[in-house]
Amino acid sequence: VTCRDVIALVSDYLAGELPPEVTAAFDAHLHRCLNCRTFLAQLRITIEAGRLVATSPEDADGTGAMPAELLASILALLRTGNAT
Amino acid sequence: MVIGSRASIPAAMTDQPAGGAPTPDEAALARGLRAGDEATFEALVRTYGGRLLTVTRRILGNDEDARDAVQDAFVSAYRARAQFTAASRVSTWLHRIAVNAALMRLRSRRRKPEESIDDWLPDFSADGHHAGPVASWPESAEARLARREVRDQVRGAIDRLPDSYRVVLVLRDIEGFDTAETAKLLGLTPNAVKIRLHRARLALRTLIAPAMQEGAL
Repeated sequence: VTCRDVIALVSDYLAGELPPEVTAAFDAHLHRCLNCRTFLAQLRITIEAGRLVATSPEDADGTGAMPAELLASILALLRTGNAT
Repeated sequence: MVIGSRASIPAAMTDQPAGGAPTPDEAALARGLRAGDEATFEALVRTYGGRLLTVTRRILGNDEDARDAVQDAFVSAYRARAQFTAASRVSTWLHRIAVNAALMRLRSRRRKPEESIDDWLPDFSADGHHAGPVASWPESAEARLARREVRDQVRGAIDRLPDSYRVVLVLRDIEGFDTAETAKLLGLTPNAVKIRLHRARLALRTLIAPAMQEGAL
């Protein structure tokens, strides 16, 4: 098992979707390869970063994200019956 | 239009509105929605418009298309209001409609060949080892992302991904859809979704690396 093999499977590994024998080989490689351990940690951070961005105050709230003209435009569509 | 009756709970839409916004009375909204009450619909636009705009922006990667998609979404929701069932939260129902509106926009604009992401994938030597040392990132995601400027850089990196990769990453890793749902929404096989998600994550790792390194910013 090479680093290339490990990185090719890393998303499946994180999802717990590798067969047991492949997981064992994956873990054995990780045990002896600092680069792959570091890479795996970075990929976990990368995935978490996306989630954290989505739940950050400026995204999760969204109250400041709605431009006034868009709000007015949508409400006008609804009031004039053009949405029907 | 796909109207979800089941809750793929989107991470960004499950929390109560922050920033002091009033907590919407879901039951009252649902009743008003089904009754076609104009004031209820206006309240929905005011309450959820900003958050839906954030969702469509993540999928489409630019403000102009995102605004059009939100408008499309509310028009679709208005037309489909009678189909809303109490089995679903209003926020989840609107989220699904907004995702569909964004995907329709995405499909309609997909004309030009996409940029390759190969340059953002990891390099290996001929014997399959990493081409160079992998430098560790010093902080956890939570610690690093506590800074607004880092969050903006991560958003910018997601926006840089080509459409076909960004949309899979956003639906799977951010909006909370599973592989099967994502495959159905995008008209792909589950395996194609897995492959694109994996490559998108690898590319995003490269793109956010400068923001995650010690001393960056």
